Amino acid sequence: MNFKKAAILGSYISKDYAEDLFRLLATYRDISASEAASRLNMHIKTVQDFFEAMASLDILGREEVFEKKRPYFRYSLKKRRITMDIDLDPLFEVQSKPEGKLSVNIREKKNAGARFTTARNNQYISSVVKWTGEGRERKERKINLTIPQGKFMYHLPFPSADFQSVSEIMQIAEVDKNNTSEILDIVDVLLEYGVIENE
Amino acid sequence: MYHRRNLKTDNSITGLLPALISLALFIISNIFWGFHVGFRVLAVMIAIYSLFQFRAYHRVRNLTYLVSAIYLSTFALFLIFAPITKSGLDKNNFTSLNKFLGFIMLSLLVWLVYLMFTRKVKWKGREVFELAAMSVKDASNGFTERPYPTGKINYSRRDLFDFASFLRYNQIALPFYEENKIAFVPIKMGQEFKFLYTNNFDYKDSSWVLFDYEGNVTVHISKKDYLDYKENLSFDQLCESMGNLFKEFLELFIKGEEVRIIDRLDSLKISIFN
Repeated sequence: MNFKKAAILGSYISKDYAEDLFRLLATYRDISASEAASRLNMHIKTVQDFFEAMASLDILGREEVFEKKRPYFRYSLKKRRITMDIDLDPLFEVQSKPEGKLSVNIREKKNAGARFTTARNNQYISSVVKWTGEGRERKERKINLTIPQGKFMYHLPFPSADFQSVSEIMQIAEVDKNNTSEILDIVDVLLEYGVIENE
Repeated sequence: MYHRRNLKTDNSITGLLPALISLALFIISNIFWGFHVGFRVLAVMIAIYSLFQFRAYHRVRNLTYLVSAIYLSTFALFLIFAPITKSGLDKNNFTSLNKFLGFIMLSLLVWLVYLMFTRKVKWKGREVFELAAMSVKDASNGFTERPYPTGKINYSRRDLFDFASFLRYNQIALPFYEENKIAFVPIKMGQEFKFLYTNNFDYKDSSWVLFDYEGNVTVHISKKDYLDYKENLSFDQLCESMGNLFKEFLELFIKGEEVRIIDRLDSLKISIFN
């Protein structure tokens, strides 16, 4: 199951009426949204959305029937067990193949308009604040850094300095290789916000 | 030897403000209530300034501030006890006390003028910023608020504390002591007041050079000080140069050649008033 489907399932299964609707589906061979709604004294739209979501996840079967020229759906339970199985492996891809990103040359962007807060011991950056948008839409985006990220940012080349690769900066900042993924993550975020630039 | 100035000319009159305020109040009091009140108002103003100078002495522990504070106190006492008529000071009726206070006051004034012309009164932050800029070749801007790590050097904690006292006494930089580090804030003449008279002053927004007890040296140059340069100097080179300058000063100090530090600063021949 991917994250999108898991999110739909999680969202609907957490409703306080979910168990009642499943009990109804277990009791009836098939049932329409209006029948279930009247039985549980709920709004038909709420039940309709629930049944449609479960049908999209292949937990319910859906059959279109015609009565007095007006078609509607009858839903039936297809499964007696629901399991949520999410594969996190794809998320580890960056960590397992970071070579390309580690060789990217970066430095702080000139006039980035970011504010850096230094940690109490002055040896790493504790947060980066960047204002985005204009006028009434202007918003503050504050990113609190982990200690390895803060050390990395502390040694990031200045806007007027030469570019350095991510791996070189990590070496100067004495950041452990185990922290590579979080360093690459903050590099991505700060590139996106225009705080740092690449060659 | 002529050195090309990298900093803009200082036209600030902050240092003259106390004198101008006192003069204005003295003139106003004279006009409305005569010399008798005018001189007393002046005495109170000078007494207040002397308290400020004692406070500054407490912070800097520098002979100049002590001499200045005693001079101002004596001046205030002189004005309080001086015989005053409708036309001003009555010199013919000076008592022994008046003469004694006048003698002390003039002696201290001569001493102060001597200290001033031998550059002992001067805060030397301007010289520090000029020296730091000398080795910067590029003008590529690149200002950032981030501090700049300039590497590591060897020194003992004792050396660092003695160095801090030296920089403070000679008004080169004011040290701010923290748990495991000392930050040195170079102060330009006329900008010392907020550092001397603000309780628990937060130096972080100023320019500083920080030495921690593990030997790491970090530099931060504030935007205000950076914009005080005529050109947009390459910021990383400027920070590096500032760090190297302080490292060099510390090495000279450890070798017992602190006079060379003063010589280098004085060689710039920046006016004693800025």
